Amino acid sequence: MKKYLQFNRLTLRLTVMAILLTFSAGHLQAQQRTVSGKVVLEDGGAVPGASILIKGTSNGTVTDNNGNYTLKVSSGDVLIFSFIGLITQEVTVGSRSVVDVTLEEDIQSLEEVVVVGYGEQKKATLTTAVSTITGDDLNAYPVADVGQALQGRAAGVNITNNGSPGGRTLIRIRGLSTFGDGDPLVVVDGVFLEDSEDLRNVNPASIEKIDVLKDAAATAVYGSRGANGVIIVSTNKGTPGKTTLKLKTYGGIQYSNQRYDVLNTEQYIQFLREIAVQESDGAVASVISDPNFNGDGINTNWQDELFRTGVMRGADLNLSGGSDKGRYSFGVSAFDQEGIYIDTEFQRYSFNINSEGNIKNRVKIGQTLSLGHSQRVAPVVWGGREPLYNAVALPPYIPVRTADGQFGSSLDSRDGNDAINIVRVTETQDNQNLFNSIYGNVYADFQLIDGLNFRTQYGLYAFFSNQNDISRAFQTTGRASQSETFINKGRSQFLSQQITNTLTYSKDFGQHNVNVTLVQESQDKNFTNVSTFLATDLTSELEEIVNGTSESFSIPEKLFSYLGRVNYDFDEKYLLQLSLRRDKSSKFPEANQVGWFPAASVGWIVSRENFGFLSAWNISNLKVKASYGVTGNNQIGFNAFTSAIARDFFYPVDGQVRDGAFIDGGNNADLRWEEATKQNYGVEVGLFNNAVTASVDYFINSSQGLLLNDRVSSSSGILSGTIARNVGDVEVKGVELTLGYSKTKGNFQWNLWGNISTAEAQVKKLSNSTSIDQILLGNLNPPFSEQLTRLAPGLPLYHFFGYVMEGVYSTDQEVIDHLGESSLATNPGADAGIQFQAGDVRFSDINGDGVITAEDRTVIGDPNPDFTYSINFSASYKNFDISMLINGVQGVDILNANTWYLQSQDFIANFGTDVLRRWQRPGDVTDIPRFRFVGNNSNNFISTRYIEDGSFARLKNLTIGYSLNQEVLQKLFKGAVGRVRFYVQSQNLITITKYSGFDPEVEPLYGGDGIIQGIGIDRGRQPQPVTFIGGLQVEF
Amino acid sequence: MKYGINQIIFYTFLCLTLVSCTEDVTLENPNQLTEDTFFESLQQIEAAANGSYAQLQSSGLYQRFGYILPDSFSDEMQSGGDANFITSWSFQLTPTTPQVDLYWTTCYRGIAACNFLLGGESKMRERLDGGGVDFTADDVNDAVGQGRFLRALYYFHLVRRFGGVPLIVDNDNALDIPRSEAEEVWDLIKSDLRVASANLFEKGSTEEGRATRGAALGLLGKVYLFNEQYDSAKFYLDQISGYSLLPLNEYNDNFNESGEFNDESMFEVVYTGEQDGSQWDQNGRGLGEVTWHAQEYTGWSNIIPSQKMIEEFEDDDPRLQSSVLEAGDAYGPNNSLTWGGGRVWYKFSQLYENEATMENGDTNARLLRYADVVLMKAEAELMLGNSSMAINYLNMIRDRVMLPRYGTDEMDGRGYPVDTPDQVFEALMHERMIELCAEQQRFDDLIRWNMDSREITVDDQGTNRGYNESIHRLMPIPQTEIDANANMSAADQNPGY
Repeated sequence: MKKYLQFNRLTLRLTVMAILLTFSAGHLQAQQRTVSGKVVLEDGGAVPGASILIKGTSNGTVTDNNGNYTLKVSSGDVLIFSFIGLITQEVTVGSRSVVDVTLEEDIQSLEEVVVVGYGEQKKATLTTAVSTITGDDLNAYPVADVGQALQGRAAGVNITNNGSPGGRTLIRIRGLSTFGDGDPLVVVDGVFLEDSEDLRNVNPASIEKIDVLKDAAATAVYGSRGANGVIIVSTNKGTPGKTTLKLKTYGGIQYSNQRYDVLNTEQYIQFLREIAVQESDGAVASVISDPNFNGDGINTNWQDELFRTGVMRGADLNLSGGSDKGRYSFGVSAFDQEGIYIDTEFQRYSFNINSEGNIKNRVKIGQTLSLGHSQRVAPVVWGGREPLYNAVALPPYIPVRTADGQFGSSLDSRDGNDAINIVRVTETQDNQNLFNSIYGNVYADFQLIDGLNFRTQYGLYAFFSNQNDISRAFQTTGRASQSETFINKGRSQFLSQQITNTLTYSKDFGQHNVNVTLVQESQDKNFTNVSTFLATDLTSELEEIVNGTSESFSIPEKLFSYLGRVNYDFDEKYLLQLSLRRDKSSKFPEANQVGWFPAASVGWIVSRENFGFLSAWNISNLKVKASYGVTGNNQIGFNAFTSAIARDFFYPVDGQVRDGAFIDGGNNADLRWEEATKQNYGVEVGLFNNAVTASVDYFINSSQGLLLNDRVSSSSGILSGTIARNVGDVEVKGVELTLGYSKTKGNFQWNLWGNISTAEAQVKKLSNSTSIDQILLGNLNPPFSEQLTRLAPGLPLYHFFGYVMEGVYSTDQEVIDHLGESSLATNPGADAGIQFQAGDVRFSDINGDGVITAEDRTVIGDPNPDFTYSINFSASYKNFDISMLINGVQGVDILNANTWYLQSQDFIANFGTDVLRRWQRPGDVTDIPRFRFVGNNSNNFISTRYIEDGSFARLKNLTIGYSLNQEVLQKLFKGAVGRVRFYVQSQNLITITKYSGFDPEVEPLYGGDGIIQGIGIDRGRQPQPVTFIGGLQVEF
Repeated sequence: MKYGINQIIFYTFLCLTLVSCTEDVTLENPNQLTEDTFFESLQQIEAAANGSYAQLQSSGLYQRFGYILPDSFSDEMQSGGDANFITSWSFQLTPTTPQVDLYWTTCYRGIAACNFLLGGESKMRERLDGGGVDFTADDVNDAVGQGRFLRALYYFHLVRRFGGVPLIVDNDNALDIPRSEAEEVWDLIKSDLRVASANLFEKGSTEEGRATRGAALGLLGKVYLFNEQYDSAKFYLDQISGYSLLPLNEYNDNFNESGEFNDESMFEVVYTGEQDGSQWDQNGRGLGEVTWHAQEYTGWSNIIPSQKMIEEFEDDDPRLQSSVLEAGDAYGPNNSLTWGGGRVWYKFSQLYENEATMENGDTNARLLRYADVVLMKAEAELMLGNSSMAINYLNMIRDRVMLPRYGTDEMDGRGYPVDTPDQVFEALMHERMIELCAEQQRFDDLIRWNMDSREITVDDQGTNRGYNESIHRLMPIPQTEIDANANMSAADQNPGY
């Protein structure tokens, strides 16, 4: 793989740019007399990063790490001291040269605002379920995409990582409540992205904060797309009077020491000889028929060949600032992560620029723009096997390469082992994706009269994706070879344009506070794809296609919406919010294009009443709230409601393949939105001036009319065998609890914050057809011909379904005792049902009919966790700081497909050392069944044999930092540098689990359409690496 | 600072101009045509016809299970052990066996494709009357003939394997259709084939691969044989003309690639070997013009000729050399190679002209050939009491392979006297088994003659294969159909399943 950008050169450029900016920033200072001082808290603790602004100007500064500041002022100036969570103070300088200020804590942090979609709201008066994650938390450790950084940061927000660099991160808000696409809607500065995967090109360093909307009263303003929750990303806009330049660089390593114990050369040859004796018909004849074969001293550890230590590094630069005339922010970022498998990599480069200018006093015009480029080289799945499974199955007596440089391979056609030399695969196969994206907006905001604002915004999201897959011709020492080179290229382009017009009226009438928002919005989308293919034996050198075959298609979509919302409160004590959105979407038949999405919520801030118990119990904040709303989900394919005519049912006539036309799809003129009715009840409490905070939310999400490809009678001839219908119902109930405590004592500050969430999802209904009481999903073939997961009414989503393993039959007599002679495989009069003999896996006869049949399958595991939790701890003492994040999942089942690759024994391959204790002769008592060469081997049917408890707790992040003293900085940089911090960090350092696979954090199994087919299915994907990083942060 | 009224008006106006008012979100499909606008040109009519053939190529039919299922039921075959064959060979199919579902579903997809073509007939004729189109009444007739022929062919596959099945003749009324009586299915097949035979072109007057009048008549005759309506069978079979039996030195052209569309061939499922990688689960869509026949029967020897089959051949019958390969047999281009493997089927493999079999086979499946018509004529005559005519037809088959004629002393000596109608029938059974071996005829022949229990029950070793004629003449209705069809329940399952 070629590198498309030279990383080191970019880092150098960033540094040079930073230095230049430092000098130019210095010139902004005015030339007057100097005042200095220190900003402290009531208990004497310093306030670093407090903003000091000269009133009426854009001049100002920020306190350093010890709370000190210096500023050029004139005598009449008034200084404004402010810091989030503290009460702003104004101080007249007069003739003083030292102005020390003590800022008081703002007890209810009333001014903290939350982005709620089409506007902002004070956190204190919020009546809906919204979690806010700050940019600092998001940037606590470097990640490939923003989704990963959300892990453990908000109650009810569950993240499942994909171990390989740049892989898809699953984001679930309050559990799964759809059978289709459960991805939340992602909105960046008011611009809709297409799905949460597109977050990969969003530069985490450019993010000011993320607000996660969870209940319907919050998400209903996004109407037909709000059902899965909404993630609102706000990028850094710059703060007037505060010019900040931040440079961050880091580098480190990633590795995993996890390996499966597999047979070595000696053990493997012995194993082959034993099974060849057992299968006396010669079916297992192989190299071991040569009695002198001993592997020639070769003992390749294929897993070690696959794994490596990867390097991870990156750099971010951000400049922001502004005045009363406008504000700006821009940043560049580079990120490069090598996978812990050979030939896997992810690189991201992004650039963002935001600006806003005030034209007159009542008009603001601004824009945001972000450009991103990423490159991913993904692991290659060959012959249906993940790289890890080829590594497990490969014979250890084959070298990676022979002395003359040829790739090693299974010896000849009689070797019997068809595993693929994984090093050969990575060298002859390219699997590269280049992804370029643009998102941004241009807006104008007019204040028509006091309190009445009109904002119009044009939003754009576009991406260009190049998929380049090349499988080059190759030769090996053995039977594996390929004479042709296959080149597959996909070129796709997506363009979404959006116009949003918002009219806001905000006015206080005495104690009555009213805010009305009206929105009109339209979105036009188009996805186009061209793919081209070539198979050639002319050359394997070239990467481009001549005279290939190609195809193209496009998927347009339109959405047109109105929204109205009213917020009312009385004295910020009694709160009410009502909203109604109307969406009209091209995805549905004309009669059903329009959907209405209402929501209402109420709240009562009890702590603003004069109740005696409040002060008696030191209650500084107490709020109760309730919400109810309806949202929708429109995640369904283009034209799903109607059939069309496909032209690719080719048939040869007169010796020439001709176009053939046939109907594609079925008709359903009744197709409409999925609807989700959501209720939320919450309490927020703050004690001791909010040193202790707690909140509890209880929710019930009830989804009706879930879009499902409902099975139709196959005699209808409908090609897919299904018609899209609104048939499923799912209910999710859960509780979210968050607790926080913070303490400052002198130089020592610490805080502890944790959350725990449950989301119990149950299928209520599956089909309009009474006889369909289950849907089997989750095709993982190979190795399993059966489907792994199931949906059925009254049961959890995507539960595992199969037999219950009771052990391994030690003798034939045990089979007879269990099921009678008629189930004994060696008995010619055997009846229906599975036949067994000694050494086979014994299954429970669930229905007690004396035979084991498909009827004996039952629910064998639930991949939905009982609860998830996270604990954040951070502390600082003088110049040192420490932070850690623990993330956990409890009460979850995993279907461990690794067990099949390590123990299945129905083909010739290397296996785990577990097979050394397999059943071999009558009387053997063991948990590993016999080697069984003939197909349809019941020993490997889906059963509890594969199900394990996947609960885990993981130290996701541990960081220790040290910031340089102000005196040292002064000495070294003469005031040009405001802050220097070094840190060391480890990700995934410790994982506590009983799970036997590499990693209990298992990404979902997606179908070809990108829809989830199953969760908790461990299929040998790359584990999360352990990471060690050292980094440097500099602020000017 | 306050705004003047003019500024307020200006900004309000500005805002209003920015508000989009086009609320129409309905979109055209850029990728596919719709049914309303189809059948406007000859190309579109032909494409709909082509699409009706495509299901014959797919894995439920002649890519795989169309030959595997009926062949493995018969006594011509011995299982090679592969799960795709052993299940049907040992009569262990269940309503959830995938190949049963695939066979059923593929036939119905084919029927839906035919119904799409036939449903367009009124549009075609309207547009024809309106003028200004590039097709003629003959083109429409030919398309209708092909649609009717193919629909009958798909139902013929269904009725023999499942009995009475849902009768669907209109795609707008295709959901949740209950089972019909087998009689009604046979009636639809016959009426479709009569219309087809009146509309289709003769072979040579249409493109290679398309259904012809001769094919429709041949199939119609066969259907009447199954219905034991021998007068009608004779009536239609006798109308067939323009075909001949190939001479012995060209006999292999009935089974190889270079001999496709020869003078004996009446209907073929066409394969060219082209594919775009989607040959697994081939559902007719995409470039999957391949059959695995050669690989299944020869390359992988998943099913092999039974000893009974071998012994049925007379010692000097040249057809054995053309049908079966044994170790040491010559094969390949100009018979220049020597077969090193065990006993396998030679028929329909690529080994007549190649060194090895190919997974992505391009040898056409021969669904109907003139030898079958001659033997059907013999059967019809025999059943109508015309033994001598029957013997004449049988001897046409004998003459072609230069074997002694029935009714001669030599044949009497070989144990095939034809002095009584029963003896003629035994000769007919023998001749059909040999001439049409491994051509998906034997099992249905035995059922038609009520000989299935006698012939199929035990295998070469005398072991019971598990055959029960009251159950296994039919396959089970797929469970997927029973589950998803609102007008079907477990009570509609075939007896014994």
